Amino acid sequence: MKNAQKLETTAHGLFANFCNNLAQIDLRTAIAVPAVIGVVTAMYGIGLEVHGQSQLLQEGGALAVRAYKASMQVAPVDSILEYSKLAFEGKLKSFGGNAQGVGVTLTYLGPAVAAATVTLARGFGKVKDFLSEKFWQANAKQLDDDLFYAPERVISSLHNSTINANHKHHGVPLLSVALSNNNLDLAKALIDAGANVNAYADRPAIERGMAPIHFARSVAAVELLARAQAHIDAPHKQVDHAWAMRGETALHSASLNHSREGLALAEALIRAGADTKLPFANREYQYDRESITPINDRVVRGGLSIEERLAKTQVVFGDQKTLGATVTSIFAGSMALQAVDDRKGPSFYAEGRERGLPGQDGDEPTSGLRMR
Amino acid sequence: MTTINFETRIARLNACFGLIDQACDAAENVASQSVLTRLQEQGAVYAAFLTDCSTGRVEWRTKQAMTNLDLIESFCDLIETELKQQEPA
Repeated sequence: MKNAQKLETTAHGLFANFCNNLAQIDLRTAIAVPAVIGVVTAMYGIGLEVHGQSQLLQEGGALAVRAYKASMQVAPVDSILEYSKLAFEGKLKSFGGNAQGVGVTLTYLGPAVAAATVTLARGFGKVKDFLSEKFWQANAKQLDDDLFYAPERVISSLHNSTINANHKHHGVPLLSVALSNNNLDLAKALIDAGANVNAYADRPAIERGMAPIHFARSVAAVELLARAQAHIDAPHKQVDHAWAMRGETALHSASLNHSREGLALAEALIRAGADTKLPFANREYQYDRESITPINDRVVRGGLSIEERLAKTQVVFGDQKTLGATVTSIFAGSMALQAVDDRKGPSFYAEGRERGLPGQDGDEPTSGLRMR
Repeated sequence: MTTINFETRIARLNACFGLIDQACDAAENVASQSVLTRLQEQGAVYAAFLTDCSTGRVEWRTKQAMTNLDLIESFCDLIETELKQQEPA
């Protein structure tokens, strides 16, 4: 900006005049709870000393009135104008004004804020989003509880527009939270309400850089995201922590999950169009021959060469030598391993290792997946 | 008799809110985050007032209300002047 100081000072002056005028407007004639009461009160703790209080009560905003009265007892001031100025200058410690006060205010004034958000005119989408964010930032604990124990409340909040479908809870998009809990009802409600199906988590460290598809825990979740046209090959964007998975796709993760669930997820991702030959973007963490050794080891210890297993399962091995491991190669390794697991169980490895046995031919892979 | 096109004013104020949002996300330091947050809060209050006036919850044909509607327009002027990105030459 050319003149930050001018911006701040001028805006401050305009708002002070606005508050001055607002205090003189007779809200007794208002036919319903003015949205401005809720928003002004919530944003600045500027209670309106008018007879509109009774209407606030009628609309279920009793908490707002109570909080306002309490604040007036703590910091009595002569006029609404003085009160407004104090609040605006951040000098009302008990109610609005400073950051902590605003948080307290929002906590107590939930009904007023919610009412104001709902009643804001059409066309104020951005403003509604802002208010919603303010409210839920101040009520993160409540949202914690609702997401895990009462997701129907979150769905209800979506329906009445008091929560933004793209809200990030502690930095993680609500959609990703729902998917990590495998709560598909909530995930679907969020998508229906306009949630960005490709929104990345900003924090905390573990989740940062993950897209919703990385949080999918079930076949149904993958299918839901695919129907919503999510980016199935969205790369992990994490760059700076110990187990950095930058470039890792959901299929990479699923392929490395040596379990039936992991394989089912991988199958679903491939059905949804995931690229089976995508190498890790992070060259430092690529699954080259050395990295994939654990899989090779286990297969060999089970008496099978990975090439033999791959041939049986009709999997194209990919161009591992030139690009580092591809999903195909990782997936093939996992699948081969699963086939051995299914057939022989864990003791098979130990037995094979002890005897130094070659592979036992005739083992057919139990997975029905056919890859190109 | 004075008439006011609230729809136009609402669209303008909402667009200004978008400009503040953009400034918040911009890499360049347009203004401090606290100033931008305060502008958002002021904008939210203005939005609520415009809503009340447009829906008839507040009688806008009074001197004070009209003055406030003008102040909101001034706020929009300010935001557009200071935060609108310059078109490339």
